[in-house]
Amino acid sequence: MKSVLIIEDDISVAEAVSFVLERNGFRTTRVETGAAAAALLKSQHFCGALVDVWLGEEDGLDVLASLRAQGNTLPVVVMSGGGPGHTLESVSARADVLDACAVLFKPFTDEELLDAVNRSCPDAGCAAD
Amino acid sequence: MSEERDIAPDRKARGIALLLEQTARLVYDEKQPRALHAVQWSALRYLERAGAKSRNVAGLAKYLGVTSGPASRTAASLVSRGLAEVMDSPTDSRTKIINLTDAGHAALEHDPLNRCARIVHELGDDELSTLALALNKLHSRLSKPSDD
Repeated sequence: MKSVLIIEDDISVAEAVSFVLERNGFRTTRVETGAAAAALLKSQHFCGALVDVWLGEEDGLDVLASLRAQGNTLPVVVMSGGGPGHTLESVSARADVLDACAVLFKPFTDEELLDAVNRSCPDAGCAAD
Repeated sequence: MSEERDIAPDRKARGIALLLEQTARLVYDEKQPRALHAVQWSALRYLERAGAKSRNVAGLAKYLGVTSGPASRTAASLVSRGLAEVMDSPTDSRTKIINLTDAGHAALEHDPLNRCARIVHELGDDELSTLALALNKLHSRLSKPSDD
């Protein structure tokens, strides 16, 4: 079963995303901060991750940049609804620069979510530990 | 001599900042009167990339970082040029979505960013990686409130 890490501080969004993915055969793990994600990625294997840009005090793209700077090449899908200092245009550009597989603009459909995750984690052999 | 050494890093940083600004201007160096403005190109890119539930004026406004008025006018300018069309949403009949027309898709093949992207693509892997991380850091810092 493919395992996806969801980095999202809005519990309702995290639950909704998790529900859709699990109903479609993924195993999901939810964390609310970049630090929690970084710690988990050191000890567990994931096939991919979904990261929200607006993580309270944190910038999800800074979290992704930090992972990339450490050599982490995990396939990542970025989610954003925009916000102060985060036009969706700049979010898209930064996500592309940081090798995100896809950017989902909120609100998105279940099909768009599944398509983005399936495209980012195409390896059927990828599975959780 | 020592004074020149002290100011050199600052001068170099200002030179790089100016070069960044000039480079960005060069992307849209089109002089023709009918040429699309940068914001119209941005809107076309958004409409190509956004999903069905966010391909509307509210989504475009968040993409561009403007209020709904300017976003609506930008969308209308694309519609009047035949590059986009407003239709009923397939997921919610009470709302409208904005789709690119065939002409809109064709216009994006001539997106002025393409030339810049091709040049960036020719950079070596190390150069590209360094540039990507540096620009990401610069953009992240500039998008936060100034300490000045």
